Amino acid sequence: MMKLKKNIKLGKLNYYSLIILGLLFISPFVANAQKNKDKIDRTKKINDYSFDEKLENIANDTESEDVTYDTFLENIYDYFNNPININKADQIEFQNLGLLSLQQINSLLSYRRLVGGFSSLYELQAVPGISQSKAIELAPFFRIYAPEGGKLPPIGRLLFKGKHQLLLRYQQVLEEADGYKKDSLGNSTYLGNSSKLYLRYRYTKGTQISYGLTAEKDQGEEFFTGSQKQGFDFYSGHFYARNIGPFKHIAIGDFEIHFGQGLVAWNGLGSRKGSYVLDVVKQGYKVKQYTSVNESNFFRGAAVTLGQDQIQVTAFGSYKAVDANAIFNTPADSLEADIEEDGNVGSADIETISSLQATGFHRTDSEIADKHSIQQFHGGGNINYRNRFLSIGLNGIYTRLSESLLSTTNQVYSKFVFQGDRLWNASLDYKVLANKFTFFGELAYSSNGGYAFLNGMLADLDKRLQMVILHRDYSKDYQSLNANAFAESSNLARNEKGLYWGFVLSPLPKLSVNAYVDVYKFSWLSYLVDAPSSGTDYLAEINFEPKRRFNIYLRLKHEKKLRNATDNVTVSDYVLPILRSSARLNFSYSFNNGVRLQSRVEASRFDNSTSPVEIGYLVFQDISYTFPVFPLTLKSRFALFDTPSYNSRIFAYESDVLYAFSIPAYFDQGIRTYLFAKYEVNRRLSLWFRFAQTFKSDQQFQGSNNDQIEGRKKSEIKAMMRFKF
Amino acid sequence: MNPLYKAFSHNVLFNSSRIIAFILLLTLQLQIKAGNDNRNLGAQSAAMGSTGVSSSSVFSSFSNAGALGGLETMAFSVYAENRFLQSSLSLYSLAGALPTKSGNFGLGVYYFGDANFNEKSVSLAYGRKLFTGLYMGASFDMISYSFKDYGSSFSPTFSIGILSSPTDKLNIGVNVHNPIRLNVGDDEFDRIPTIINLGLSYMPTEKIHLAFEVEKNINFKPQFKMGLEYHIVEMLYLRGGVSTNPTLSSFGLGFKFSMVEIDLANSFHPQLGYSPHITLSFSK
Repeated sequence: MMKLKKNIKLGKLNYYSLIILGLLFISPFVANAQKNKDKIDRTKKINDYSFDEKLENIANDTESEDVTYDTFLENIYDYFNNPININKADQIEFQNLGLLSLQQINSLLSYRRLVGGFSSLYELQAVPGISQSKAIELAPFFRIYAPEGGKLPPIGRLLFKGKHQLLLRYQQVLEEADGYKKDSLGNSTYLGNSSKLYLRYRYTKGTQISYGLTAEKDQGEEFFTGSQKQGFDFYSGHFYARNIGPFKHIAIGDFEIHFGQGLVAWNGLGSRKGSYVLDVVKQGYKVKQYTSVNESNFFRGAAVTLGQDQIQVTAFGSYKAVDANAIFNTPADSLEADIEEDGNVGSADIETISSLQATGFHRTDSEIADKHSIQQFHGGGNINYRNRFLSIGLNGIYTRLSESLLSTTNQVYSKFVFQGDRLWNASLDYKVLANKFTFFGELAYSSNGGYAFLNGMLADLDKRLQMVILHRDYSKDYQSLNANAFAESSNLARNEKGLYWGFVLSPLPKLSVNAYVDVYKFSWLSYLVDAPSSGTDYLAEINFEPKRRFNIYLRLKHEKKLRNATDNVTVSDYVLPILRSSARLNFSYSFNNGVRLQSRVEASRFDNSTSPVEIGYLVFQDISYTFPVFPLTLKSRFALFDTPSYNSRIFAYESDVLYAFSIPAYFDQGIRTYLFAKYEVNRRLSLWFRFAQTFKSDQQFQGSNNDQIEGRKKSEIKAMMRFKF
Repeated sequence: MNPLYKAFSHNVLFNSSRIIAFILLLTLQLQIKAGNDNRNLGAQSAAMGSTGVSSSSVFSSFSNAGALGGLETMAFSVYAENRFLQSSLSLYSLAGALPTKSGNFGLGVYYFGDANFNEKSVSLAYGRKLFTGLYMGASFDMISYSFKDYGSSFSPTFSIGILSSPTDKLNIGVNVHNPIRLNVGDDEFDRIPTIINLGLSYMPTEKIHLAFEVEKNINFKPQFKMGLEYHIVEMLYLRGGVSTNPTLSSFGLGFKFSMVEIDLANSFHPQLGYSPHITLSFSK
């Protein structure tokens, strides 16, 4: 009897065990199936998600040809390829993604705590503050399931078994500019040829390890000859690791520092005023790898972050050669000076430098003479305390130049600009999360006695209304060499006081209004403004999305600033208002089968109170097609523009090859077209090609000085290859 | 000096003031848009402020070959325009459209001017529906300019047009005429103007058609146009419109019988006066 009972008991146990064992066996398959489903969903999303469109949204109100978004793009590519575990990531990781505002992150974390974790990415839209379209946009960057194996793989696997990538890009303007023309002796102003070359190798293992090498040759620079015996003009290398051993971050080689709100040290893209009106708060990791080709906006040395979740300490040191315009001991010395093989001047003969050069061009004899003429040392650090509601940091940076910076122009407006050979900056930065409000700011001080304060508040007033207020008070004598702060004029956080107020209103499901007003004043003179002055900026963008993938927006901008009157004959210049306005109407619509059309009409107005008012226009049509089976994407544009001069120029974002950016200014009268193709040969190899041409019907020349091209056309080709292995 | 004149300079004797005056008059005409750079022909279009790129009609062979793809029946139209009541500025046009299973074909000709100066053009257009919501087409145009006693030029060019319907009430049309800036004559500086028309048609109800358009001719500032058509009763359409640069207001009527349609339009320029337009159409 008992045996039977035992048997039965065992039997029951066996029966249940069998079920449990069965479930245990099946669950990995179920999980796999779910993972496969996730993979399938992601593949669909890869086809749906358009990096180009996202980039276009971010960049389409840029009003400068020099801003590049390659680090932003690379960052989101990294996360696209290595999605964040939505249930395990912390605040800082969400911040580093760059696609969520502080309020949205706060909301997401509260939701996660409330429900105990996300069980599906569809839940993203249930998070207050994240709309359905935002959730669809974010989904490819997150995952629910952790990758196999929770332990850290051995160091060999980390360092070599990840993904390798090789990029090569070639760019060429087809017409010959004046700087390349040879004179009777066979010499030209630009020593090199007009092609631009870019080569890059990068290794990544998830978002944990990254190392690589970048090399770039600008147009006009020599290549493996003359002044560039080492080949390319610019080389950059980096090694970066996160959460390895005792290090939260470690960077060796070239890296970026992001402290606070950018008042003491921030490399890379700053926060600008634009249609993403709430995007004025800086966030993310304090130390990041440097992979861009800006030849000055980075540190070279080493940086580490140590600590645990609540308290972290970052320290960095950097020592690199920088370009500077040198002044010699006596004029004669510059002739006798030790000219080294590569055309540089021996540093022993330099007495002072008059300016630091940041363009990175080394094409002409004088640019080559300035190359790497001085050394720059930086040392600094940050101590940060963080908990769920609060983040407070202390930042410091010390800069030392090997020669003194001494201005030779003695202009009144540069009276308070940094001069000398050493400088330090210190600041306190904070972020406070209180329910629907986020307070942020930084209070900074520079060693000459200047101050810079930035304080602001983000508020989720209602489901349909988000707001940001940002106040800045930068003293006229705040000095810094590495700041990159929110400002109207210089990003170096000086000589400006202003109040910025932005809001996003969504009165109806398909309609949203983004707007900002910025009122500011400069208490001291600036370049081309011979008096203290003030200004106002307004922007309103009304977005209407009648259905998915069909977007209409109207963007209105108005700017008023003061500037010296042109051509005035009085003893001292007086200032007059300059008004700049623009209105843009844009339609963009995508069909399900890969066709996308975009149409735009834009008008600009420029009034400098003396010359006649200028009104400029731009009309264009874009068409792009992604083939459904064959891996080819084609994009093209046909634009007609007509502006009286460069003053009433209109900027428009253009599709370009990977990591290259084209946001040219359209001015004068003419036609601009471009044709772009991306061909994914296989999983490893992708090719890009672009041809762009501007034709001006009312001009005989394009460009100016050494870059002037005779004729009415300017054409450029770009070709790029990416090899993954 | 009028760029068109330079095209024939190798044929020209300079020494007549009458010629110079005539040329100056032409220049004046071009500045006030009495020359024919207008791609939107037809009295329907003229009544609606000269919009037309975002609707399908027989004259889409000129205005938007893509929109030609939206026609469903065979049609033939005759059009006459007497600009500013000047016989030397009149325009006559014939156009026909033939829908077939593999796309729609259109053929159109127009003659503008008089014996002293005239512009003639023939356009052969093909447009088809690519998929629901998108029509695309192209037209091959031959344009000829003639000056009495001096000769004529004969230039081929082409246009590309797209008509898309993002929603069922909204059409967006684009047409680019002469995108590659083909020359008239030998001189590099004399080119047939490149013109882009970008327009929108909105039909909130079946009876109301609102059109907005911007036209940018490479040589001139953009023209902004707006037109409204109201299908008041079965056989009658009321139309009105306005355009800028120069400022013109227009109005018109359309009578539609079973296979015949008659459209009348009149546009008004503050200094130069009225221009009547008439179109007679036959469709199956």
